[in-house]
Amino acid sequence: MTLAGAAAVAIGALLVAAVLFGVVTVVGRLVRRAARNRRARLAAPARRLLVRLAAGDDDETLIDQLVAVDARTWKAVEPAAVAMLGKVRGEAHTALVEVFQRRGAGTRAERDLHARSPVARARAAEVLGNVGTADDVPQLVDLLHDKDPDVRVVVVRALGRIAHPSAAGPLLASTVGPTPVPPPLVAHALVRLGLAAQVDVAAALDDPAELARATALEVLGLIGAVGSARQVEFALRSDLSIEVRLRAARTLGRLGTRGALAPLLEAMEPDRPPALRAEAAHALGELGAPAAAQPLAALLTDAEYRVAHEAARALLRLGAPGREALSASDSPHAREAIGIADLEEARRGALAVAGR
Amino acid sequence: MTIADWVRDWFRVTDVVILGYFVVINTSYLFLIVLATAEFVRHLRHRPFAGLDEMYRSPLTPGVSVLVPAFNEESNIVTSVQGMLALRYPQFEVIVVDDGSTDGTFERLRAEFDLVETPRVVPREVPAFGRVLGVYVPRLSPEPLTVVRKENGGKTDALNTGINLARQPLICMVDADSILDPQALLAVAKPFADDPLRTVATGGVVRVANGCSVVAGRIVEVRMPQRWLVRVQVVEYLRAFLLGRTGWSRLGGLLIISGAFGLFRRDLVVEVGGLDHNCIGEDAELVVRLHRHLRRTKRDYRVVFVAEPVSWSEAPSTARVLGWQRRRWHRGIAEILWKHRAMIANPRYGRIGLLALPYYVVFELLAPMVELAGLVMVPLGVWVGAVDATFAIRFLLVAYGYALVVNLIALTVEEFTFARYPRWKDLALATAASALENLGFRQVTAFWRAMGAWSAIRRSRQTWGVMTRTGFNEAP
Amino acid sequence: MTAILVADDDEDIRELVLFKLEAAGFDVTAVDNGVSALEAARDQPPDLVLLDVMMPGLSGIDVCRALRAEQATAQLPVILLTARAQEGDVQIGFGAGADDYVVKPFSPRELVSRVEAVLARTKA
Repeated sequence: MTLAGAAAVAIGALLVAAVLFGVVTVVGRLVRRAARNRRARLAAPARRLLVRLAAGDDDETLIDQLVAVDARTWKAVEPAAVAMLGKVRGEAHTALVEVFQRRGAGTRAERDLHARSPVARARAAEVLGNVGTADDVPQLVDLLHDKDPDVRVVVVRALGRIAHPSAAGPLLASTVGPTPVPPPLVAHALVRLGLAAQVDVAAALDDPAELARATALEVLGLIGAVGSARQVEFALRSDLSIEVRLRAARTLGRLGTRGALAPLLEAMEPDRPPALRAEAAHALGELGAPAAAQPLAALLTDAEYRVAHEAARALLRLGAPGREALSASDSPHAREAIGIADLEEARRGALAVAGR
Repeated sequence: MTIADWVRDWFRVTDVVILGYFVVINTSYLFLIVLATAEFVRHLRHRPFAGLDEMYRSPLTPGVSVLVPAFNEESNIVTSVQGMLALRYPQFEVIVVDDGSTDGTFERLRAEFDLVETPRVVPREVPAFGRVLGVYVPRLSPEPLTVVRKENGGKTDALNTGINLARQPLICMVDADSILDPQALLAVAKPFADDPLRTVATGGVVRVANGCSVVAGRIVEVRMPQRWLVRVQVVEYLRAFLLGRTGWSRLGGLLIISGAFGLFRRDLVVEVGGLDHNCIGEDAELVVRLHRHLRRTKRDYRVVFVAEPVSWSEAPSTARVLGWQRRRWHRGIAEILWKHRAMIANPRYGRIGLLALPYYVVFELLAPMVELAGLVMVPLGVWVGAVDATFAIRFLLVAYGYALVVNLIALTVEEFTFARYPRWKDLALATAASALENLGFRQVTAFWRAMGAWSAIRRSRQTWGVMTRTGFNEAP
Repeated sequence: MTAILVADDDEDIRELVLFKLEAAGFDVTAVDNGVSALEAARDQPPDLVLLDVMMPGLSGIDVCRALRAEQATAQLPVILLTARAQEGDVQIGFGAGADDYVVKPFSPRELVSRVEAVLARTKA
């Protein structure tokens, strides 16, 4: 075939392709729209039932009605039902969960946890996160080591939503190892477990893995585990990892215990790493102890930007001694902090004037 | 052999080479489209359990500083900023850097948000030369807005100043006229939340805002623009931004994150020294520099393109401004490739060095030259008698026909994934624009792009460019 | 009958709240954006306004502030509805002049109690 001949064939093929894709686009749009409209029409009555149930309608037959809805209609209305789960809590939520459970969503999901496709496994984990119970926790915990990272992430979130304390240990362990999960996601899930998980989380403070210790510390601060304050102070003083010590400082600020003052002041000393000193300064602001005013004032002229900045901000939160220290200083950071304080005062004042 | 024979052979060979080039470049687009489609499918299948709501509620979601460099943006700056302040994200701040505007940009902001000056210490972590004249925040409302006035120094300088002032661990660089989808920050920050140790930069899809109705900084209705010049650009954006970038991201070779919307880890940007004042494509250059630095230090990292439409930009609606833009873009590519030429075909830089950069040299940088050469060589070849006219016509039909088919495939993929243009009229316009692109648009932009490359060589003085703002809603 | 204005861009929430409040005996008007909410509140001041914070265009916070700034609506009881409950957000909410702050996911029954409580408080 000559080049010219080949060109002719190519033109023909391109023409066909152009028409083909044009047709596919148009037909695709028509078909999808028709399907969407059909689904909406089908789902409409069921959706009304759903809204009434979510709104807490007293009608006792509502749950039965929704359970009795046929499979095709349920398929059309299921996304709305799942969305509704995320919007309500309390009795309304329990009622919705019951509908899912009685329709077998839970059992199907438990089975799909072992599906071959990772998307199916992830979807199943998501469903269990929505409607699962404590009984589902062991199976989900197994999936924390799934080889697909997306599945692991969904499992962590699901465990957080179910919020059963038995998941605490395995969650912490999942931050390390051959199939790790990002620590912030684990931390968020643990926070949802709340103080019930405190013991397990505190136990992880002795874990050889740096990430596990750091995550544990972050969580303890966020759940307000005041009982673990001593261990956190110890971590601040003597842990070998800077990441862990940073978290410890942050957590001490959040916990707000009196014993935190001394180790935080120590962590601000000039020979410590600047990141730690800044974090400690910030934590002292959260602590709000007036005794920290002088040491913080000394840092206003520190060479490290972040240290001086955090010291100034912290002084704002120490009441009168803090303000005095700031006014006495001629550091630009002090001026910045005073500027902010003035702004906030003006805002509060304006509100009072508005009469609310 | 006579000279005439020699000339004829020369034309024949060149023409075949040029045709071959067109075939290869369009086939590469096809390949990228296939990859991108796979990525979209994956993305859409993952959406039911993406967990954006949880990300919104988590106290540990990393905070974002949105940096908005502004120069003479008075017509849109207020709605733009309002839109950004209304973004759905747990922890973020908006920093507008007024780079010495000579119009009412600052005044409009000051009036709308009741700005007052506040003393602020500006760290100097990355180089910024224009002097900061003042830092302003809203007087009474606690909105997370900071407006910085500084001496004019160019977009790079404005962004670097913003980087210095940014307080959050992630920085998002947007254009002052960008309109962001409310979930935009959540979508592009998600890779950072899901893989915080490795993700270093993410970008999202940028779309054309012209013709869409905008209310208070949010896109309310998506429509094709009025002007054919802009309609063609819509198709272009779909093909290049949506499919090209997504495809490359799946290959692990994402080279350019659009300057109109990119999210970066602040500490790494500081580590590599911020944006480069000497490069006109400063946003793209930053990404290449990040690749270089991270591969050299052998760190495990990812640059991710998020396959969700997140940002809408006003595309040039006049030939003059379009020409400016294309010259600037291409000059940017040329400068970046030159600056980082040590990386090209260098195995030390993995897929970036061996795949992405050489591709950019051959199929992006040289593309306009080859296209222009084709426009000249083929008619010349016919005239000289080296190439017969029928072949020449068929040649052109194949070259442009293939490009048209690629565009149509892009439209099909768009229809089956995001389908943001619901009106049938708009679909028809997009199809027509796909064809129109080949009837003059590409040729003229090829000329501009070639000029851009030439000016990179000549190293002429840069101007950020004054794009006359026409505002968003064109007359219906 | 006590009139309540509800503004939320989420259709599910709108329908839900409408149903629940009507079942509790209130006269409810529902709108899907801030601008309409402001207009409705100005035209026919209700007895209480329920505002979603994250709405396109005018947010619930903006509407609240605008209501407080005008004589006719300054004393209107406002409850904010939001998915965001970090410290700063609560501060902003009350700072804008809201009377109560309900976090999503919420209990519809609890919402009614809060509405009744705020109404009782402000009538006193």
